[in-house]
Amino acid sequence: MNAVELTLGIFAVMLVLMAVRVPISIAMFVAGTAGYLTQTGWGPFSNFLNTQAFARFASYDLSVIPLFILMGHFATQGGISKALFSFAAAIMGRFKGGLAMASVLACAAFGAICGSSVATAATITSVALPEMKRHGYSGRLATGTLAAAGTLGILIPPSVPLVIYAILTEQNIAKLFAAAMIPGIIAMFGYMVAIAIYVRLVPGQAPETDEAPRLTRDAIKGVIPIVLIFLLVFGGIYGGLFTPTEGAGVGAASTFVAALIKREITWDKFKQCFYATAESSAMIFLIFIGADLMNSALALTQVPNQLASVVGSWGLSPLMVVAAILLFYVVLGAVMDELSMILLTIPIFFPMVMTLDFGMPKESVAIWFGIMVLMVVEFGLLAPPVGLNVYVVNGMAKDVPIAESYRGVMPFLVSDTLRTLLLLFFPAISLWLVKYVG
Amino acid sequence: QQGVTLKFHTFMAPQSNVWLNMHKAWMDKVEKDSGSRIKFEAYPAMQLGGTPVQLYDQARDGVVDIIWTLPGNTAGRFPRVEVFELPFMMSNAEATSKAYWEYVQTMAPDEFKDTQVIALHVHGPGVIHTAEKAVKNVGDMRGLKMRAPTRQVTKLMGALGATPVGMPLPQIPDALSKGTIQGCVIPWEVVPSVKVHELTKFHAEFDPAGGSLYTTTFVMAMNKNKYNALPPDLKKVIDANSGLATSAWLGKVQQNGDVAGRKAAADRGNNIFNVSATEAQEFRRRSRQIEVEWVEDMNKRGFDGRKLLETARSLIDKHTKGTKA
Amino acid sequence: MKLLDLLARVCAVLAGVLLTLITLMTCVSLIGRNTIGTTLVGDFELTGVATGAAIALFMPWCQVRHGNIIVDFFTAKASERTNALLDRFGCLLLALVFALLAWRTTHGALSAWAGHSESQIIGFPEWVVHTTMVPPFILTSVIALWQAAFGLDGAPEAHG
Ligand code: NA
Ligand code: NA
Repeated sequence: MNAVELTLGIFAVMLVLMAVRVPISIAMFVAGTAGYLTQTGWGPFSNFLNTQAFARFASYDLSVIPLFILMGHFATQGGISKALFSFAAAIMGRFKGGLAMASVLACAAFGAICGSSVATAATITSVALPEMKRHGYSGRLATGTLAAAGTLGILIPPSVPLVIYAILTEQNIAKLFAAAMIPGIIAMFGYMVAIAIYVRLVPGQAPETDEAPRLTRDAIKGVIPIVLIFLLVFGGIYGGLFTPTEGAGVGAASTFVAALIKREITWDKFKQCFYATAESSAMIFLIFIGADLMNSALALTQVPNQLASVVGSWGLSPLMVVAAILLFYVVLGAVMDELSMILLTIPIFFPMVMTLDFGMPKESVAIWFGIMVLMVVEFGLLAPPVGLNVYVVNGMAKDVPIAESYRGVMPFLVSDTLRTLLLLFFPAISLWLVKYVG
Repeated sequence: QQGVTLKFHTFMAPQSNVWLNMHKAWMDKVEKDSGSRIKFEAYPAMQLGGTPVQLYDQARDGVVDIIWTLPGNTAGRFPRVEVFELPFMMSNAEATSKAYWEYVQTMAPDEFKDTQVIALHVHGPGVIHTAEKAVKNVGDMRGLKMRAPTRQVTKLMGALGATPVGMPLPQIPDALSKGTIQGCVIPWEVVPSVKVHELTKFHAEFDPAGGSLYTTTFVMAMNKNKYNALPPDLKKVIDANSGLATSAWLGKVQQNGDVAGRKAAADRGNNIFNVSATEAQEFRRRSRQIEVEWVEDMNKRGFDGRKLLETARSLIDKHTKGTKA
Repeated sequence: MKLLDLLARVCAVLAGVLLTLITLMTCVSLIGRNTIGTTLVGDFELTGVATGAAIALFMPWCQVRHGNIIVDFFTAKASERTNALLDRFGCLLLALVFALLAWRTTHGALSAWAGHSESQIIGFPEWVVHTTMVPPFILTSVIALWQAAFGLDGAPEAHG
């Protein structure tokens, strides 16, 4: 069996297992294990596993994920997120599909302090999904909106994938964040426009009017805690009191305290927070472990390394090469998770891209390519069959079939495609803000 | 003729000085010296999985064949090596790397006994980089929020009156730009990758004659069984690219990386200065307590702490005199 | 299953409390750093290791709730009986994976113990985290085995 056959074999095993309802983390784990064992035998593989759980679970960089999920549940059980969401809904309520738009707004706001898209999706879903359901939104539109809006968690800085890209390519994280700012805001408006068009084209997805609560004194009072927390976290991060990672801890702790002060939270409700956090965090981290196994098995085949020279031999124009890479990411993203994908491929593609001439300084190319990569890995979070965000949101909406959620994501994928093309052909949109940094 | 392919695994980024000019260069040389009978599968950026903490075990357990990592990542494991990370120990990377190699052979031969050690080296002198305020004397450090790279430098920051802030290296630019930290301690070589020359204005160097501020130890190691299974002539190729000379070479190349980082800061018109001899004396006086604590810690672990410290110091002296920096 | 359910709940609550304490610790350290200039040095390492233990402790409850996501896209038209059988097969594979992880993590713990591996700044012993992970991994494996043998009908209600 040659390396390419082996690579295809690993993917085949994974896809077959997934198709027969094996949890996707376990499907990746088993396929990765098979691929790893084929190449190295038992010894290296078993030793690799000795520290794998520790390596992935005890990670400071990834600690933001359970902390933000916990923060979301504190806010939910403490009645705080609900107040925030009714506030957003009161603002957006006058538009058709207003609650869906309010979800996008809430995800964007949450994304400005959270660097993870699954955490953003899970948090806002816990408050927005019941509300949308109550107001008669279809499961399709509600879950599709939340899955897509959750990607604002990485599109709007801070952004975990961008941090990893910056580490791998030795680029300035602050500049990458600045470059992501405008594309992130475009994404937010793009999603709102997608909702506005969708609810008009496809009847029966959203109620004619939301009858959202008016902006009462109580509604305003209800958002005071979250505004304070938001100011504390935002002010603390941008005022230099703590790092974005520490901000996750501050956010969770202050939400905890706010819930205590509101006296809405009991020991029983705390336990509900922990159970709910356990369910989503464990699910996500088990996928990380599975993806690790897949990645290592694929890296061992050396196929990813050879890919660069194959693409190089085609003699394409620089823009075509980038377009080909991005297309490859879309395909790969369908079956892999975003972090693993970047870890696996950037060391291969980045040096290749840096040898091409785009008529821009090298640093600009590096930043622009980073933003393009971010845009397309975000596709992977939504695209079937393995769109992590879709699963996270769908998992919280037990009565909505996964196929419905995928249908609901389609309008947002159109919006994503248009935005990606815009940024591909007009790098200046990303690079404009960068010159004001550093 | 029989050939072999070795998997080289590390955490360094594929664009870094360390990867391109040290790791790749070393692999290319071995490949050439062996007449292409030793080949490498090179994996930067932890492509084969795990985190930097796991690298040493990966070589020991045969998950991969050769690794490059920091012994300090798993601090309690290579306790005696930490002597080179004490403040004001190192002179220059080449000489200190030689001393480090010789020290491990003579004073701590069992420290890396689980692997076939290829090289032991350190990076160039650590420099204090600050955003708003020049650090010309110890008093200037008071209250500064500083990111420190190692356990010993963290202690040093505390001893100097600064507030040490712990964070992973990649968070430095963001933290500096927002003022979460007001400065950091890293060698020049690392400066461009975390844009410290753009985010700070003042850089305090110390005259290496009295010991440079700090350094970090590195180890390049090979799986023992893999090494032992090599045919004799290939073993010789590895041997010829291991040891004192290779360690010195790695140290030297890494310190050469300092030039570009220093130039980047100078080109921006940043203020680069030497801490005066008298003020440096005060820095050293404050750091003495850290040595004492280290010696006590070694004694507790059943080693002769004083002897370890003195040997390391005299080896650095010896090799510094014998090496033109 | 009652006992397994209870144990999984205990693990999840323990981990939740641990995470909450870690966030409070972070705040205390931050207040110290930004006011009196003293700080809990290496607090970020504690956050890392605490997260590690917490995530492992979260695993059993996730399995009790059958919370690991599956692709039901391709089997949507199959009978309930078929799907239930496939789910039991999935649980069996998951049980094997967690048994493997428990076994290998035990090796990791022993190796970290023997090698005195510690975190870089504060010197937190790594074997503690490895060791904390093993019991929840075993518990997860047992829960999944139970589900493979008796099916998922007994799964408790959401947030019950
Ligand atoms: Na974000
Ligand atoms: Na995906």
